[in-house]
Amino acid sequence: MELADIGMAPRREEKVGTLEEAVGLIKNGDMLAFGGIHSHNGPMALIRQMIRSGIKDLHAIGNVSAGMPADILIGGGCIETFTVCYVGLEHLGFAPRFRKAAEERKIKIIDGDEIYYVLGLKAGAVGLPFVPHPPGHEARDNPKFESTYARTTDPYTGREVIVSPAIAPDVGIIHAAQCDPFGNVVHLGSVVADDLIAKASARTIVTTEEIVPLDSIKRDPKRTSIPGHYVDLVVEVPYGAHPLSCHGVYNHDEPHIVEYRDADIDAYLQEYVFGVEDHFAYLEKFGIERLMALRESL
Amino acid sequence: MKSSKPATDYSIGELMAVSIARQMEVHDGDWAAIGAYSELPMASMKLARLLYAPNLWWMSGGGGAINSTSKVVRSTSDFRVIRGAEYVMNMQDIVDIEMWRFSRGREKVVAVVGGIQIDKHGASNMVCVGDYANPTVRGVGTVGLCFGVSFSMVYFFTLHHNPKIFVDQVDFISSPGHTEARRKYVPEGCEGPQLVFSPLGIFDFESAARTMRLRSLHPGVTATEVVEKTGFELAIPDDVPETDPPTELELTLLRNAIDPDGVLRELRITR
Repeated sequence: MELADIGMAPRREEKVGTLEEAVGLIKNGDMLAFGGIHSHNGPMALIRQMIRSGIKDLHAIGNVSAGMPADILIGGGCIETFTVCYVGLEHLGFAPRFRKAAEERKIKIIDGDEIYYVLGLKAGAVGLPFVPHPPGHEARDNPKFESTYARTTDPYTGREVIVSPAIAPDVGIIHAAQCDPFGNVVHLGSVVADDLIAKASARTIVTTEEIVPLDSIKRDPKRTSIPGHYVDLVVEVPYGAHPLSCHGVYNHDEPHIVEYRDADIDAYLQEYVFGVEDHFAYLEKFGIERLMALRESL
Repeated sequence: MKSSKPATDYSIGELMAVSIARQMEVHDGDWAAIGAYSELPMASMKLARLLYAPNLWWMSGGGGAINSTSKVVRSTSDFRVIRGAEYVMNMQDIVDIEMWRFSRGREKVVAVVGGIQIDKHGASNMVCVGDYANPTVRGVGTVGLCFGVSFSMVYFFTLHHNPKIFVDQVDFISSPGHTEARRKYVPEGCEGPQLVFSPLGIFDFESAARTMRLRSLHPGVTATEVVEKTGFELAIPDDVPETDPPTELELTLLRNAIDPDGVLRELRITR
């Protein structure tokens, strides 16, 4: 029993909410960073809810290697600007809606890379005004063609240095295996840049396979990958990364990602986003047997 | 291991994986990175640690698994790669090592990467084919090729060999080749592109002008064929040896210990 239980002290505030409440934290025109990498750990249920809710004009900060989350946000009409580090489907080829939108110049692209992205978020997190790059990048074309790079003078040496902007998203969305009601996150596999996203974003939403009790976190605090202080809202969404994997819980549903890649995007969105009432209706389209098999193959 | 007999029945992917693994012998004690769509170098790193470079540290793409001992799976950032690894890097760790300035003159930090175009000087492009402002093909983005100016050395592998990939000059420099700009701007100790492993042969940049030069031909491939399928004038020495085929031991390890699911044999490779 705690003092709060008998009215003798204020109660610690839980951060648990719904996907609808999560979308309520995302405004049209926001800069939005999403976590995970390739076909792993993307907050797909929340992304589908964003598309269903008609969120638009986002400036997406694609994760270090973004696949279907990037592509479906573009296909779903949510994106005005996309900061690219990598957008593609790995061994499954190009991301078709990204490629089409880029080639037809339907979205604005900022051509970053791993340094632009990771050190940009780091600068965003701690309030550094920009990122100075070490010598050598003059020989590459990103700083030459991408207009958000600039040059300034290093006051200590007088040498010219290439700089890129700090990245401070309005909202960061990540998916992890476990989280407690107070926002303490546990990744059971790769964290990638999810921790940086949580630190750099003004608001951070975590969707999780399972909300675990605080006691479970306290048993081994070294496993906590992001302290709950950085987290604003926690939503329990089983299979919330499907058809991507959730590291440590289930594998990605590669046949479905291929189906998505090859589908007419409007028909796909109608069937799997607009045509289903909520996340559980989406999961029912796949059935328990298929979903459980993704765990068993882990 | 050197006494193991040459094999006769192997796939081109297996030959390439073995060639890259053997090259890692000079990197015993160094640190190597591979990226995405990299089943082939993933197999090479595992084979290298078993046979040629027991002290090699290697990272399986952005998932960050270090020294994974799992079987080969298609996605290098798959959770299953973490099984049997020694550490899992996050992105800050990855940037820290791939920009590590003390790697210059100490243990090397190298990468085995690719590109949608690779040119005669060894520049690699992941961004676009055609004019940047109005591309005919929009690529995936520069991603980790930005470290081409901080890695100690860069190796390339390609699953295809044709004039669309091997071009005179890339349309966008994600990572620079041996050019005047590299000599002018890139720090010493970042030695740039070293070798290219393609389905037709192995290439270096040791011509007088530091352009791509044929180093060995895979068994059954002729220099004429390579010239026809390369979009620039390749340097060709008088004597070009044949790439050593895999040994029975290398193939046995690849097929049983490293890649029991046969990912390597099913890779779509064209030449």
